[in-house]
Amino acid sequence: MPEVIDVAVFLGRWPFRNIPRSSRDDLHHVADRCGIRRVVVSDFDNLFWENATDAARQFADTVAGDDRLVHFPIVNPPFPGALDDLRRLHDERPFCGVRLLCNYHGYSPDHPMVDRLIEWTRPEGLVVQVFRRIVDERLHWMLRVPPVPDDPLVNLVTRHPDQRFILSALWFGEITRLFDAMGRPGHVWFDVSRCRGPEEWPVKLLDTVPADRIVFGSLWPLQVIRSTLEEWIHAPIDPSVRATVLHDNAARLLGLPAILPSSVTEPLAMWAGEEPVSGE
Amino acid sequence: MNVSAETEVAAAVRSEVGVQIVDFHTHIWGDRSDRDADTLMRMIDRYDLAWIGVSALVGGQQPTSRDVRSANDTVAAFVRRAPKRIEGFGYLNPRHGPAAVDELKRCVERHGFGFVKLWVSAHADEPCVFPIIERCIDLEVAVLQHAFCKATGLLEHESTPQHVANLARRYPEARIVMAHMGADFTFGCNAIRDCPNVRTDMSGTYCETGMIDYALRVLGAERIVFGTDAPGASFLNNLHKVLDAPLTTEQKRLIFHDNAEGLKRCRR
Repeated sequence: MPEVIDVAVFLGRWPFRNIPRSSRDDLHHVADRCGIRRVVVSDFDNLFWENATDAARQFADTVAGDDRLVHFPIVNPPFPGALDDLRRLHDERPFCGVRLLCNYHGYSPDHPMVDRLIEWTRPEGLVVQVFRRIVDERLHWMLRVPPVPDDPLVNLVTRHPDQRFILSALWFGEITRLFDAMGRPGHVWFDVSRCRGPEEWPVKLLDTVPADRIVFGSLWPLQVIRSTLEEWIHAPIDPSVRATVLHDNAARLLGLPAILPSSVTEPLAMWAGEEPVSGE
Repeated sequence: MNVSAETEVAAAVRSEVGVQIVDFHTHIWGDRSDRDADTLMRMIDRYDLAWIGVSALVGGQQPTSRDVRSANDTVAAFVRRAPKRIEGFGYLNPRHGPAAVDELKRCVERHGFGFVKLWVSAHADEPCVFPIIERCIDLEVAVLQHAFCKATGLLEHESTPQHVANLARRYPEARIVMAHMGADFTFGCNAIRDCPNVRTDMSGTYCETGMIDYALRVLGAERIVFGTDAPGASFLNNLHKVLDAPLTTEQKRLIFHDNAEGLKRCRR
């Protein structure tokens, strides 16, 4: 079974459609089957509540003691008192990164309060994860949320060369384009959660973006973990490269020990005959 | 290549359902047809596919008669590389009027194609589409109709699932496959649920959880066809959309093989 860290997972109730098999127990079950040792997770309430930190605090209490779950609170920096509340939460329930979903909260990565946030996260050694989108904006009928534009994203990472960023949910072509536009940065990692092609895309991605800039993400429970994971399991790449992408980069970001490449050369357990976790 | 592991994926499916997988929805694009054809051939071998359905898309939203003729000739040449494992889809622009029907006839009689692909040249329920559908009914040719319902705006003549449903109700004897589940699978499946002559594929969509569960509940397994939209989209991404769903072996067999095969057989 391979060792995998998934940096793009959510829990809670997605308000726009029914998602079968999306509970915390479901997450543990699918993670067990896929060899996912750690999951970077936030709560959907943390995204949709007006006072995001209130929801983050509740979620931190809920997941405390669950060694698989690595909580990244979602922060809305322009919201009054958000940064003070976040610092207090960190004192009580330490975390190693935060998430920004600027487009849902209606601010740009250029907002001065984002710089204020990073004035705190950088010396604390926290990772800042910015989602360009969660779902395909073409299909986000009930809440029209455009993706975060290129320029403010490029400006953000350029302005803060000492801050470690994960950029999440970019399409394949966006990753390759922005990696170059950002000057092939060494302080930015891209997750692959929104890559769905072209055929043989992991190899094509590695032609442009070095393995040490790529981390695995699934966007579970909105997306099927194996659809993205098996691309990397079966890609014709060196096992050490596979381990770098699926585990080691994220392990370094999160301060976890690395693993030996040989452990990611075994194929995943076959799904055939496995019972689903629960019905819809 | 890590071929053995990849073959293992396809072999596991074949072992369970007893047949090879059919990929009903692939393309070769005009400006990169040789490269795409090679990619698709590798895909056929790697996943041990029974067959793939292929159309060539060229000339933008309104290809000329020359464009579609050239595209269909390109597909015919590709089919000759592996005739038992590649099914040609005739690409037509309904706005070409009688010439489009002539091209359909040429595709069927000269190239042996058994399917038609309609993309974004006309809404599915526009009158210019009707003569093509009527001829497809005569020839027992099934139609793969693009539908992609976008919150961010559609192309000028891009079909929604409702356009497809309108066409299906006008021609209940036509056999239609709505591509991409209409993009938004809840909207798409609901739009066609009362049109038993419409099946749908999941090609070209993201790997959204619950997609197959929903289609299964609203349409039934007999109306879901496996397709990828390769090489623009990946095979494994689509495979696991299906494998993630709580399907019986019989339902998997329908989706991965029998439903597409049934469309093929109806003309023979």
